[in-house]
Amino acid sequence: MNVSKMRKYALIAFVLVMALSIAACGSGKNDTIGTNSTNNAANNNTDQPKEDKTVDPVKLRIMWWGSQTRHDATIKALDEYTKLNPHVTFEPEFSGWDGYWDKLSTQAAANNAPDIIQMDAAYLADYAARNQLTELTTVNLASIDEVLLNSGKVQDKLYAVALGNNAFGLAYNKEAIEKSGIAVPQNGLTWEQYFQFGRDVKAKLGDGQYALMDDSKALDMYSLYQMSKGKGYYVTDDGKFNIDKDTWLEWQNIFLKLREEGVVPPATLSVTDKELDPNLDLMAQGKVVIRGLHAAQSVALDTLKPGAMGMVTLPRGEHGAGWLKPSMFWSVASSSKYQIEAQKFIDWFINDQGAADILTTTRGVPVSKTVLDYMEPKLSPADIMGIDLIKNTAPIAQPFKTSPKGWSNFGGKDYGTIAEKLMFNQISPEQAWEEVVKKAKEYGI
Amino acid sequence: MSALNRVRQRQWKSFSLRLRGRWESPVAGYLFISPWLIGFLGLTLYPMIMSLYYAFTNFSLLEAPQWVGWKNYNLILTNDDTFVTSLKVTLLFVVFSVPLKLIFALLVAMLLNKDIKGISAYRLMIYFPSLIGTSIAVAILWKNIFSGDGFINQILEVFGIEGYSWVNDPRTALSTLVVLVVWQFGSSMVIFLTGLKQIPRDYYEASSVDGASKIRQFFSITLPSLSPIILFNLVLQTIGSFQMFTQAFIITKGGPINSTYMYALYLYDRAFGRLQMGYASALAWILLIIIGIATALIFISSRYWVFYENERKGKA
Repeated sequence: MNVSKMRKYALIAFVLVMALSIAACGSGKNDTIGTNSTNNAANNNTDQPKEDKTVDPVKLRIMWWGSQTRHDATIKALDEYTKLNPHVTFEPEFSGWDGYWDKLSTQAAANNAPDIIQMDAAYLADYAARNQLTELTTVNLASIDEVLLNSGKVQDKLYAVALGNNAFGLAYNKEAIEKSGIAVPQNGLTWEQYFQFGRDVKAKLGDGQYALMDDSKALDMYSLYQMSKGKGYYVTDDGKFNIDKDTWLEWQNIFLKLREEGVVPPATLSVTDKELDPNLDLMAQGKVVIRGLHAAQSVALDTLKPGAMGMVTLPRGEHGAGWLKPSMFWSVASSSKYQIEAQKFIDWFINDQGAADILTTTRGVPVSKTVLDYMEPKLSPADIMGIDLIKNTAPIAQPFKTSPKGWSNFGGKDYGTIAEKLMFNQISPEQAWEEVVKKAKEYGI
Repeated sequence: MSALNRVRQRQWKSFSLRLRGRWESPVAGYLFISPWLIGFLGLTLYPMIMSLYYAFTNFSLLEAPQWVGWKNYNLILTNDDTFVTSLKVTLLFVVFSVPLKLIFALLVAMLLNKDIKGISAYRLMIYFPSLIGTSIAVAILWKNIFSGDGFINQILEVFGIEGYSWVNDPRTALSTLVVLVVWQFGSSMVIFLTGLKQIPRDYYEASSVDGASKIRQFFSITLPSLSPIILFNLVLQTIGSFQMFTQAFIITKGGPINSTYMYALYLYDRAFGRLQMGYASALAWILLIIIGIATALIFISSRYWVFYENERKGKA
């Protein structure tokens, strides 16, 4: 009896330990690049011997999200910077968008955020309000567009420097569309033309191939639709729920019909899509011919199938189409020990022509006017594709909006779950509407 | 009371005698276990205590926590649909995956307990994947096997059967995860195998003289003799299954339509997606209580189906 009792105690103790140790996954490999700092004294003796001796070595941690093209270009730029400033080395951390913010928030909580952080408009206000970012005062901003510059300000203080201009539009598979004998979509097309285009293409395609993406669960895409009808963003600036019932039902009924007609993929396929992932992106796989994409992604888009892709503005309503937005920002952590060095790097990153040569448009159209003028003759067709999308969107663009504080999970998770029920035909659009309203109340209507 | 207790008392006496004379010995002992001790204090005990505290705050990771009393627990238990959904999914998963996995592990263990030539080679081959199979790599592999144009569907296509989106259909996604977890039977299997080896052969020989069939032997000898091991595996797997995270996170992200939205995944989303550490901590403690209850139920039930050899001897 005692043996069994002992085993029980041992097991109960084990239970307690096991139950609380919930699996956490560490990831991300930090390679230190730019090892040149060690030989600086020897090499630069002839140039500036005095200065080198007074400079202490600086190691900047820098973190960004992006695709492989951006990773490669950024790492090359960091190497270049180390070559020019041998006392500065970098410890880069990079990943895709997935998991980036989980990682950053954990680091920030541990007071261990990287010195230089790539920031997104949706998170900037939150991080600035929590005193995680430092005000940027020593970066040369003379050649930056006023609107873009202001997008990095929170309560009139500059916490983030915009790195590029961006626009949300459509990317299409030119090759596949031309093969089906349908004309490629033109800039300024309307929503009606867009849906009709989908039906026309589908008529020429076989089974297992579709024309458009199912945007039932894409809250941003819906918001742009609602804005183009003059009904505003899905949530007001002060955080009030603002989806218009009739417009929303209209949108969901359109996609319900498109699903039945096979113009958009079935739900089981739609839920697998992962933007620009060569194995999961539905357009890269040849399952659809057109999808929503940002101008800053034009180079990554081109690598899927060089020369075969095109970009065109988002469909428009009476009140415009798509929007222009800053592609992303650099911020400096308030916990950083090297705030001046970090700002020096940002200054170089946005203003230096050598940096621009390496980075091209991997973070959108260069934010500095002088750099853009310098770059224009050297740009690749893929770069120009992105720039053209921005130019074409500009005259019809709607104001850029982002989820106010606290709402990001509504679009990121809850809305999608309800929309999936719709996509799998478990509920009707009317029932889905009830659920959306109910869920929105949790976020404070 | 029992022999073991007397032995322990004796050990303790001699230990405390030595203690008076030589104070170094406990220091040396603690030094030897210090790697574990530091890990336990820093990575288990401290986080547990902090999470108990955070569960009563509105801690958001980036701002200092503020005391909110029972508010988190109140919200979870009275006004959280997703909590109910994820709990349902998790219970469903536990109820199906644990017994299936144990049955499968036992079957394989029995096969590997046969007296045939080269059995150690077979054992090695079957257990080997468990050694290299880190959970994330296996999960990604599984995703590729069961996805729309994955391995399974390509084979089906050869036979003219139309492919099926196993992990992307809310009706089959959870079952696919159950199959994956059942397939990861390695550790339970090894424990069963050791248990099987400890059953004295005399029992089988005696019973076959009495004319017992193989099936009768299995139910009357193997299962009862193995019952303490089954209990051990059952408890271990139940606890593990309640905390199921990796596979669901990698393969389905909880979707489609939350059909694989495990409790731990929901907890993670609250903690790192919505930065509600306080709320997530409360969820974790509720999970602890649920696991505690489930384990207690298993132990209570074990009185009726677990047999210990020394028990019988003691009664005799």
